[in-house]
Amino acid sequence: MATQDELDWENTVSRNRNKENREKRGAVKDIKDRRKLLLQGASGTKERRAIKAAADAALEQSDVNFDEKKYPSDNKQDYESDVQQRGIDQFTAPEATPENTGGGGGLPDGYVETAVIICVNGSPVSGQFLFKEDTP
Amino acid sequence: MPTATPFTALGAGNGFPFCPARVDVDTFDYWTTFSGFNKNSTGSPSASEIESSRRIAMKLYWNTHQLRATAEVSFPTGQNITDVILTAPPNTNPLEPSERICRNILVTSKAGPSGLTRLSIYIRIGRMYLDGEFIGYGLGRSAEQRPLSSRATSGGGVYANVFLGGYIQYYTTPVSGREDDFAYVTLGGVSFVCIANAATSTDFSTSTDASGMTASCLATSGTSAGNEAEVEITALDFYTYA
Repeated sequence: MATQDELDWENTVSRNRNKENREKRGAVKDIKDRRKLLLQGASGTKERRAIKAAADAALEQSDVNFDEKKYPSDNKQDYESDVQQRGIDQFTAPEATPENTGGGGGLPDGYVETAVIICVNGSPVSGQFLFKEDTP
Repeated sequence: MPTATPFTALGAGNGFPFCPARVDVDTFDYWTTFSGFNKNSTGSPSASEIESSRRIAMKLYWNTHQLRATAEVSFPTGQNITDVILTAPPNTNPLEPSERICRNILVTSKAGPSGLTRLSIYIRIGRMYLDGEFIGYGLGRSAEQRPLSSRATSGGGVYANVFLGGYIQYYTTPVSGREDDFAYVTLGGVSFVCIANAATSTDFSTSTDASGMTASCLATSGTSAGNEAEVEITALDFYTYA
C-alpha cells in the first residue's frame, strides 16, 4: 500500500508530465501554424519545400513525436505474433468492415473485378484488375 | 476445332501484345490486306475494310490453331506429312491463345524425317501502307519467305511448293526451270497472296495452281522418272471459345 507521501509525489510527477506535454503540443501547434502561414505566402515550389524542411527540422527539435499517422510500436513484429493477430491495419480487417451498409461491399463504386492476362518479364501472368467502364 | 478458355489480355492497346511492323507495299507486284484490299483495288480502303482487317489480324494472331496441308513425295518414301499445329517450339503442345500475350511472331514448322517435306507457319502481323497511307493489316512477310507453306522435294530436281504471304517481292521475275503461278486467295476468311511453283523440265510434267493452292511435279522420263512431289494447302483452323 502506498503512503500519502508517495501518492503526493506521483501526483506531482504526473502534473509536471502533463504540463510538459501541453507545452510541447503548444510548441508543435505554433510551428505548424507558422508553417501553414508561410506556405500560404510562398511563391513557388522551391520556397514551399524550404519552408517544409525548416518546419520539419523545428518539429524534430521540439522532441515530440509529431508524426500522427505512424505508430510503429503497434506493428506486431515479435516472434509471438502471427497472421491471426491484428496490427495497425485492423480497421480494414473483414470483421471490422460494416456489412449491410448498402455501399456495395469492398469495391469502389462502379468498379468490377476483371480477370486479365498480362506479360510480366516474358511470361504470361493472370490476375485481377479493378475496372470501370467509361460512360458514353 | 479446339476450344479455348475465354480470357482478357492487356496488351499494347491495339488488339495485339506488340506494335505491328510497318510494311510499305508500293513497289510490290502483289499485296493484300487481310480483308482483301489488294493491288487490284481502286481508291482507298473504307474505314470498315480497315477495321475488318484488324479483326481478322487479331483472329489470325490469337486464334490460329493449325494449317491443314499436305506435302508428299514418291521418293524417298516415308516423307509424306500432313497438317501442322501451331506450337511454341521446343514445346510440342498446341500454343493456347492466352499464352500468346508475350509474343510478337508465331512460328512452327513440321518436317519429314529427311526434311524433304515441310509445312510451316510464320505469323507476323504487319501494318500496310500505300503511298504513305495506312490501308489495313496484312501478313507482314513476303510469300517468298514461306510464312504459310507446304514444300516437297523428291530426287532428281523434282520439287513443288505453295507459299502464302502478305505480298510478293521478287518471284514475279521468271526463272528458268521453275514455273510460278500467283493468285489472291482466301483461307479461313483471311486474304493472302499465293505462290504455287514447281520445277520444269522436258522430263517433267508440272502443274501449278495458285488459286487452288496446289502444285505438283512428276518426272515422266529421264533418270528420275517416277519421282513426284505434290503439295497442297487446304485450310486454316482456329480456336473457338466455350
